Amino acid sequence: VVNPKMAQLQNDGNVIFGLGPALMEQIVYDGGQATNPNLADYAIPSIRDLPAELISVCIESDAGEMHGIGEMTLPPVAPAIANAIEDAVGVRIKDLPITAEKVLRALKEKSQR
Amino acid sequence: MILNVNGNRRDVHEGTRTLLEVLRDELGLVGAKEGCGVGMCGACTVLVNGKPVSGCLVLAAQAADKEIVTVEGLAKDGKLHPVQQAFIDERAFQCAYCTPGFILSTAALLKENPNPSEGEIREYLSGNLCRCGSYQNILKAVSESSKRLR
Repeated sequence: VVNPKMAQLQNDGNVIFGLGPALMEQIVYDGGQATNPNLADYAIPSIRDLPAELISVCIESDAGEMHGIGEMTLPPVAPAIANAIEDAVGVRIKDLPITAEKVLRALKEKSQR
Repeated sequence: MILNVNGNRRDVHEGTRTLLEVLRDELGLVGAKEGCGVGMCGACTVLVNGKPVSGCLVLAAQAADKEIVTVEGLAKDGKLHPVQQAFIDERAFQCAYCTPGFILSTAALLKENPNPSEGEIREYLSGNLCRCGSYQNILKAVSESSKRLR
């Protein structure tokens, strides 16, 4: 890892950006018109959404090639949260964002089955 | 109309435009950024009489008899403000579009509350959004600033 401090920061950013589509971000359309096209109605992660603990571990490998980190640790955030929810309460949410309402509905459906 | 900006009296013409527009377009102070334009993102934060306000929501004329501080006004005698230096030392930004707003909000927070808890920092800075997600380093920079300013 060439620059560990910036690698950690980039990874933090990926995780926090990834929390957005995973848990809160959704454009709502009504007849083709976006009804929440601003930051008042379309929430993105703020500093209050920063997890209490967020640790990046960079793994060194001689076989690794030199390349930028980019956003490669962003896509796993949503599936990781979905897996954690299934592990915790036994329901699998398959569409984003994973809202409290969706989890509650899934739990109710499960209990009726 | 006269605006008192960063300790200087500046003559401006367009009092009916937003403070942000006048600062950027008339006075060339482009530290404050337009993000959302509706007061939700904090990128346009400036201090008016020591309080952080969204420059996009205030008309220039409303700030006429007040003391305005932008990020350009924080450094003194060629030396960065301790909050600015802490943001650099802790690498508290990636693209840095939100940084002037975060720095001014932090400076205002530490004036009001020199030794804030992590919860108080999170609450005070929740009106500033960082799309790159550098919040963890921002928290460190605020704690570090608080130590240095005490």
